[in-house]
Amino acid sequence: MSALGKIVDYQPASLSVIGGRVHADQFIRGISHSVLSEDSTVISKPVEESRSTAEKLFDNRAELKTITAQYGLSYLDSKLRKQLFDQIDWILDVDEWEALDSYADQESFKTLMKFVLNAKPAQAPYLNIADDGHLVATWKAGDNKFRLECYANDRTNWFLSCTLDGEEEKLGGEARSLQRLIDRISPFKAAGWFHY
Amino acid sequence: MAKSQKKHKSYKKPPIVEAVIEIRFEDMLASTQLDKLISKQKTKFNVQKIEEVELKISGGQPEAGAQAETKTRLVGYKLTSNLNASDIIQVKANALSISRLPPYEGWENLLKDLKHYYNWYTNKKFKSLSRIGVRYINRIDIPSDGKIKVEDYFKIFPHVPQTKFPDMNHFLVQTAAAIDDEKLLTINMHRVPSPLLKHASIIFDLDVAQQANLPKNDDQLYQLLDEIREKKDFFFETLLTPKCKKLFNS
Repeated sequence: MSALGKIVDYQPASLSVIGGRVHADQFIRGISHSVLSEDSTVISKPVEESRSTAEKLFDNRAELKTITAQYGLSYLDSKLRKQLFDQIDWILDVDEWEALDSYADQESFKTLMKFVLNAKPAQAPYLNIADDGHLVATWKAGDNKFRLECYANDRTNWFLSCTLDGEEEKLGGEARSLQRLIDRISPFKAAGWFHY
Repeated sequence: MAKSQKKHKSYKKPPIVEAVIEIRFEDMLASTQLDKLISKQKTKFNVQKIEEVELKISGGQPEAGAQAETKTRLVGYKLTSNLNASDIIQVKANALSISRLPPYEGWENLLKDLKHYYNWYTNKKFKSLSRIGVRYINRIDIPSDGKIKVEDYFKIFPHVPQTKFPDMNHFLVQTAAAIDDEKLLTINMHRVPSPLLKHASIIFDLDVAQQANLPKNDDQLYQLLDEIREKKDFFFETLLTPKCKKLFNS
């Protein structure tokens, strides 16, 4: 094996770093095809072809927790991290699972994680999984409520209802960037759903 | 030999995406031994196969076109902790690695875990080694409205002409260097989309490994791992600027 082959030998345990599945190693392996006489790609896949529901749920929980770790690094405090993990365990709980329930979509969860890192709520949302697998996050403070539907590539649908200074507000929309979303909801910080 | 008493710098917000220790052995375990090992861990870990997919493209006569053939082969297992998915063990017929994802809990904890699973893998009987490596993959998130001067944060960077050169949207740096008679330092560095708004993120990946003159017993192995860690820390500290390191304490 060439020197280039040797130095990219070890495959990290987590194959998806921020921004999709192109890891440096994979990228380098890609460009080293002409150097190496035999090249290969390492993949991880379930042990059994027919995995049980419990195992599939574990895989899905692990995927979401890995994304939480990789995106959150040391930005998430331990309390928020635990709350997020509790919610992940709850939405993918084998005891509550029904045959028609959907697994959580990873790309949707990445959008949620990016929102959490940038909006910096002090508490995790209540989570649900929609029929197509996208995540629905809800923050509440009394009757004030902020609901966020997360899709791939930072797309969101959002809805808020709150009473501020005696005025009832109901507002919602579709956002194609997280900056735009955060700008739209920032006037409603006083609604308290993020418990700053 | 006396243990290293050197104080290590720690940061409030370490940028570590994944910390890894890997040990490779000269002899291969039989697949039955590997399966037996794995079966003992099924309550504590979720187990996945690691497979290598090999793609061979053979070009015949131009008019016949190229033919592609794929082969899949089991090379080991990936064990992910049931508790928090932050601890990952990769077990192969001739290798053991442990990875820690955030939150990083320090070298001592990583080494403690390594010792535990090393004893499990070797059944407490020393096995001849073929390579030892320590790899830390960091993601440096730099506040930015678009442009960043990489040289303000790193002492290793792609050098370009100062005038009339377009901004680099992406770059990839890879270097390999012998750092003493036996150890090899590999650096991988490249930009990735940042999860933080108004930030640019750069992966800074350091790998220090040794393939020759390897330990002959467990004590020597653990001592060498500490030495490799010292080297890794030295290059981390040396290759980042004070402005960069400030990001980890802010």
